Amino acid sequence: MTDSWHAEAQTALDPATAAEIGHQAAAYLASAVHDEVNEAHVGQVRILVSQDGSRIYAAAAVRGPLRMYLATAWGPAGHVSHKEIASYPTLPEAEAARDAALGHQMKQGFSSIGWVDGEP
Amino acid sequence: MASRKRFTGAGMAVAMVVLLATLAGCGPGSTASGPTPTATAGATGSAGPPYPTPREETYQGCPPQGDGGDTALNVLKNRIDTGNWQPVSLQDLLSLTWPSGVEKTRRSNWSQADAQTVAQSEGRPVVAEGYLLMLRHEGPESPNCHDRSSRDYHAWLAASASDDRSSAMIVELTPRVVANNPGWGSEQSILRLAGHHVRVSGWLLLDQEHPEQLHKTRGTLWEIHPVMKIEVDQGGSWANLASGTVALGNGVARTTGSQGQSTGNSGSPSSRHHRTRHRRHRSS
Repeated sequence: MTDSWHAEAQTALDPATAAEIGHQAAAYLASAVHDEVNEAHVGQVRILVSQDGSRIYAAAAVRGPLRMYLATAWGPAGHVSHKEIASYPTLPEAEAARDAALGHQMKQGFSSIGWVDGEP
Repeated sequence: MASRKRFTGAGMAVAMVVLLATLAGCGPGSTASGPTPTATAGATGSAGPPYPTPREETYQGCPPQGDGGDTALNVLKNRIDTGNWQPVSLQDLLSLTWPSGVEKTRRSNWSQADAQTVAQSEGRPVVAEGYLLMLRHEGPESPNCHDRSSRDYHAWLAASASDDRSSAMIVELTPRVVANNPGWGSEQSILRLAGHHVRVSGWLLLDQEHPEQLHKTRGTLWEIHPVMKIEVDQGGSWANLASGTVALGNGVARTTGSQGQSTGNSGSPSSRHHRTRHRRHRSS
C-alpha cells in the first residue's frame, strides 16, 4: 500500500516530503482499520495538509463484510496518531461521507497533496 | 505394535484424568485464592463455570462479536443478562489484580494460566457504591460495529467525590443495555449523572486493552461493564434510575416510556457516602 503514492500535480510541499508524510498517514490509517475491523479492505487514502504544512488529515472509504466505513486520521505531519472509524450501511454512503469530510477540511484551509492506492 | 498402542491409550487416559483433576483444583472454582465465586441464578454448579454464562443478542444488525478487534472481549461487553448482584466495596474492586501478560493482548492469545486467573473474577455479578466523577459519550467502537448511533458511555466511579479519575473505576453503559432501559433517559439525562452518589450493578470485566491509561485516567483495568442497573442517592434512599422519576440536577432524568421498575429498595445509601457533592471534570 505504501508503495503506491500519487502526488497532486500542484502542491507547496516538495515531492519527497509529501510522499513521506503521505505514507505515514496512510499506513497509520490502514493499520488502525485492520486492528479494529476484521477482513477490511481500505480504499484510496486521500491526504490533506494544513496551510502551514504542520497538520495532516487522511480519509478513506473502507469495505467490510458486515458494514462499510469512513476511516479518518489526523495529527502532526509525519506523526499522525488519531483516528475515527464510523460505519455506514452502504459503500456509496461511506464514500459520500468521505467526500463530505474532505470538503469540510478544505473549507478549513487544508489542501490535497496526494493519495495512496486502495487495497486490492 | 497393537499392545504398544493399547498401552499408549491407557497411559493417555490416566494422563487425562490427572490433567482434569489438576484443572479442577486450580481452575476458576478453586477457593484457594482470589474472590469467592458468588452462587447466582443460572450458575451451572460446581462442575461448571462459577458465574452465569453471558447472554447476548444481535443489536441493530451488529452481532455480539462486534465487527472486529478482540471479538471475545466484545462478546462479554455486549452481554444483556441480569444477575444476582453481590455487594462489593469499590476499594476491593480497585485492588483486584490481573496477570501482566494479558495487557494489550487479544484473548485468543492469552495463556491458559492467565485466562484462568482472570476468570476467577471476570463475569462476577457485582453492585458497588460510589460517586460518578464524570461521564462521557464515546466515539464509534468495534463492539458496536462502529455505529455512530450506538456508542458506549464511559463513567468514572470513585469512592469519594473529591477523588481523581486516576483512582477511579471505569463503568460502562452500553447501547444495548441503554436501549433496554428507556427510564435511563436521553443522552442529556445520562450525562447529568455526573457528580451523583450512585450504586451501579453489572458484570465485572477486565478490559486489557488500555494499560497506558492506568494511574492517569483510570485506577484499574477492571470495569463494571456492562452496567445493568443504576441507583441514585435521593435524600438517603436509593432510587432506581430505570423508574424514570429520578431527579438529576436540572430536571428529571427521562421521560420516555417506563419499565415500571420500583424505586428505592434494599438498603439506603451508607452514611459515609451520604453527602452529595456535584462535581464535573473536563475530558482529557
